[in-house]
Amino acid sequence: MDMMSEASRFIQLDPAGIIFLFIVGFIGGLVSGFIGSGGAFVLTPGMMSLGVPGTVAVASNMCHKFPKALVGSIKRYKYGQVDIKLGLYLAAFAGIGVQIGIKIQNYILSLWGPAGSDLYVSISFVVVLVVVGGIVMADAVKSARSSCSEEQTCSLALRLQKIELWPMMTFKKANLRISLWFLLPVGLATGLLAATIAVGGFVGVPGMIYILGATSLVASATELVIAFVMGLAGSVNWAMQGMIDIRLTLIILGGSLLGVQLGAIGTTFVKEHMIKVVMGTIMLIVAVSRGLAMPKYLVKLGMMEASEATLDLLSKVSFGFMVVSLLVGAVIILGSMFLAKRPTAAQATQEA
Amino acid sequence: MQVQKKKPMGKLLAYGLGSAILFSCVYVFQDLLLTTSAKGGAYTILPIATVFLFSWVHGTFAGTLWEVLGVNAVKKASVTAPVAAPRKDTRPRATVNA
Repeated sequence: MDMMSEASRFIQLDPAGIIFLFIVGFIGGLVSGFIGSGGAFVLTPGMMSLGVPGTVAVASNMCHKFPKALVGSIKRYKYGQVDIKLGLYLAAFAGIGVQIGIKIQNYILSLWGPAGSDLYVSISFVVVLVVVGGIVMADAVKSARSSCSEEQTCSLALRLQKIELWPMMTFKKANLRISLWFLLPVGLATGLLAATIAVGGFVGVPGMIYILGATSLVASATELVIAFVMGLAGSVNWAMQGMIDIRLTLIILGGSLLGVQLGAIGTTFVKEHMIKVVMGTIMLIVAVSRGLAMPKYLVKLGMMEASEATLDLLSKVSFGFMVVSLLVGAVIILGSMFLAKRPTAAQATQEA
Repeated sequence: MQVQKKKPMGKLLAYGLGSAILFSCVYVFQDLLLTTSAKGGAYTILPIATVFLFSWVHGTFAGTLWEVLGVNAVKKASVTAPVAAPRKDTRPRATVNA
């Protein structure tokens, strides 16, 4: 690798860029610590807007993701929320899912070129986020209205747990006994989505809740184990190619390690359905964002006509929606933490 | 009366200082770090080991900071999901009628 290509790979950082990355890292970490994933979808385009080449942005983002997930999962393990065995099994299947996802991506790339590939990614984003985000949101609203303080296990998960299909797996922390054959699709879908839209948790967490029957607390905490394993493997791969800008990684990590621990602490304060509320809200706003990005690729493929100015505006609005989704998630988390903390503080004052 | 837990100020200062030193080192040696990690191959270990080191030092600092600021976890009774009831054994049983 010559020095010229290295110089073009690694940008000159200014204070504004450093502050931006630190803050996005913090908010992304907060959301990840709370719902198990998130932040990555804003950080990659955010870095690219600073002039970082796409591959370096993806690589540097991934390299910050696995230590963040490690710290978050250790924190949540201490709270008794992580099922390591479940996380490792799902991570192994997700690894296969990533390989399938890459194969599909390459096939689409060879058929329709980069614009077709981008359109496939955007369509996947919109379809998955609208369907899964809608289910999560509807369930969150139902749980919020329910007078029952305990989270109810989905009837589909209960039915699947009753099917005695060899080999049956027992996960003590998640309090689950389910066939390996039902873990497989959840893991594969998580990996497939991670390879396509880089946020496997948007399928992994709902999959663990609605198909396997884990609580949202255990599911979101266990997702961090999956993110760690997959992030480490991906980062080693990128590091072998010399694509990681360690400065960017460490600035984001500086903010995200603060955020991820705050998010993890937050899960112990709030009602369990808040995890679903935050996840559903973020997913639905991101779906709008990706929907707005689609015309650009449709124009490139000659399937639609629009002026350059319109596409530029749509692109900016799309990125704006991504940032808004993360901010809304952070506000809900911090707001619900504040509201949950208030009665405890008032009680302590009364006791004193 | 509530027993006030002592805040770990010493730990916060030690890891805070360690974190500040690590970030300063990255700033001072950024060119060396970038050119070395850009080589890839055997140098893969450099960025991976660096982030692990930061996770430990800066991660401990961050956790202690929230503790010192009074943002602590609340203990909950249980986080486990209710499991499905075991299947009824409907197999015929040999019975003896006297």
